[in-house]
Amino acid sequence: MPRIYMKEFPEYSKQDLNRKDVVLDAAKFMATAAITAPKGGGIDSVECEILTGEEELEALARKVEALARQRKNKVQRNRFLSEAVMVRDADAIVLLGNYRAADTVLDAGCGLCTGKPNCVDLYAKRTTKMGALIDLAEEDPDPEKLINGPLCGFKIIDHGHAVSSALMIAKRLFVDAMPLFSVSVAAQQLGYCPKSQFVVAILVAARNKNPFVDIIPDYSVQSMEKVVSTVRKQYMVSRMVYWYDQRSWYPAEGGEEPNTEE
Amino acid sequence: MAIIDINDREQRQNIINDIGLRAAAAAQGSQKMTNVSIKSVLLTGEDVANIRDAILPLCGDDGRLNMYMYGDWKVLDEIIKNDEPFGILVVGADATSSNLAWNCGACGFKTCGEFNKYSKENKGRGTAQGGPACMWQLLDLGGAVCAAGASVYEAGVSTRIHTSFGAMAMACGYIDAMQAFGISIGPWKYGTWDEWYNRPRMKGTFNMGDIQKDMMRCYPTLFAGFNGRGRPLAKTDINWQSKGIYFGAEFDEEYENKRKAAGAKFGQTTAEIRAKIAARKEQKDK
Repeated sequence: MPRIYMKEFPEYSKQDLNRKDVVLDAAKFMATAAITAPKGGGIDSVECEILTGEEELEALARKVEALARQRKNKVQRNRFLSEAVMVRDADAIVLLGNYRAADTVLDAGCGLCTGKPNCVDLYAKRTTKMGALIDLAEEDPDPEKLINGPLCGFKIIDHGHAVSSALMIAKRLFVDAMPLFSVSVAAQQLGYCPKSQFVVAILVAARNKNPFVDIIPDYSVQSMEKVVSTVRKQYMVSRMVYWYDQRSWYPAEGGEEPNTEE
Repeated sequence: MAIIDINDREQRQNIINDIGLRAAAAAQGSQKMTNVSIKSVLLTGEDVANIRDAILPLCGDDGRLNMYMYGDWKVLDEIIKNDEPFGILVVGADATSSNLAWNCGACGFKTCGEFNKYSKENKGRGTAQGGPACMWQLLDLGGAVCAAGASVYEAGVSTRIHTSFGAMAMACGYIDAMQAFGISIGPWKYGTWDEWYNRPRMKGTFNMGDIQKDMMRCYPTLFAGFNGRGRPLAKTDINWQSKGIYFGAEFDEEYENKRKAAGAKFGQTTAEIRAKIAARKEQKDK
């Protein structure tokens, strides 16, 4: 029987990749739970994508940071920057997209998005053809909006069921999971869940310490990654400052003379 | 040590109530992205009967005005007639204003401020829910509802998320919310996937003609192999090609009138129930 050794440090070492593999399995179970979650009318609407790997997560984190720079509110900007760190700390990210909320809405006049017993206000803000078919292909989304709304409220309720189901599986498996707005928007803008106008990103991790809580101020410069990087840097500097040749002498302890080869 | 007889009706209702309370806790404690406030209320006994009575006007007495919602009415009616232990957990929220300041645009407005201004002036109710609503708060409400449903499911009791029960609970004044969904807790005459899915209690309610007509109304031309002249015929029986029954889109005055009358009757029924509930609440406050 092969030995499977797991340890979360060093990052992306063989033992860490063994650990991340299990998180990937958990992420797949979460995605499955999202797919089987209750849907109004039993109508399919969820597509899933799972993101892992240092390069992929780094690209997503950078997109979150780009969004952070657009936030004028200091709290929000700092929050987004902190969440970019969490992306780097995640072992996997489960992306759940809803491919119906923008163009194939429920059409029940339920009132969630408009407060009226019809969907006319939603259709009026969309490009329609052939009577009332929404054509997203011909729409030029407002660059000032992070999400191309209005969306069907009922489909979003359904999507809440999907997200909640995925989170409940994570809870059951004792992996840490955190859905984040900033990462959701960034992932959608990067083209993940390509059929969807509305995406929710759930960060997943199985570390000795939950990386999504207990965050310190200016986390983007005080993250574990930065601290570890700083230690490595400082250590090197220390080695170079104390000129010492281990081949010919050993430093004296107390008031003694230095030890030499003779 | 006491012997608790689980065959006793009251004890079974106690179990239902306990599961309902646990489900309410699951809804409150579900993982959320926003600060939406989740409200919940557990309905049993005569209050379930009120939900049943509120549904019927919208379905028509024979259920053919709204065949889908009639399924909910039919099961409730049997539960009440048989005096079966049962509960409805109503989980709701008011997502018609947002202090998130995320300015994401999902609601269709550029900023939360614009949304709030519009909502303040235009807030209202649709056929089942209230709006307009912040999409992220709706997402969290959906999550809370799902967590409650999952809690009941995991307790081994049949359940389903019902838009109808939530809408009726709001209309009857059971919950002060703009959006609400009902979660059935039980009954347990049939198995998990039967009570609210396969619905054995619906046996004999609709006939083959009802089902065939419903299918044809909802996706008519999919049954036709060839729409040659662009005038698809209804495949009513094997001799359909000689009958000349064509599909088309037309104003159905008779159905519209029935629907409007049902809406008026629904308004009257729920107003009466609301008055009773309000009187009960007032008496309780005294």
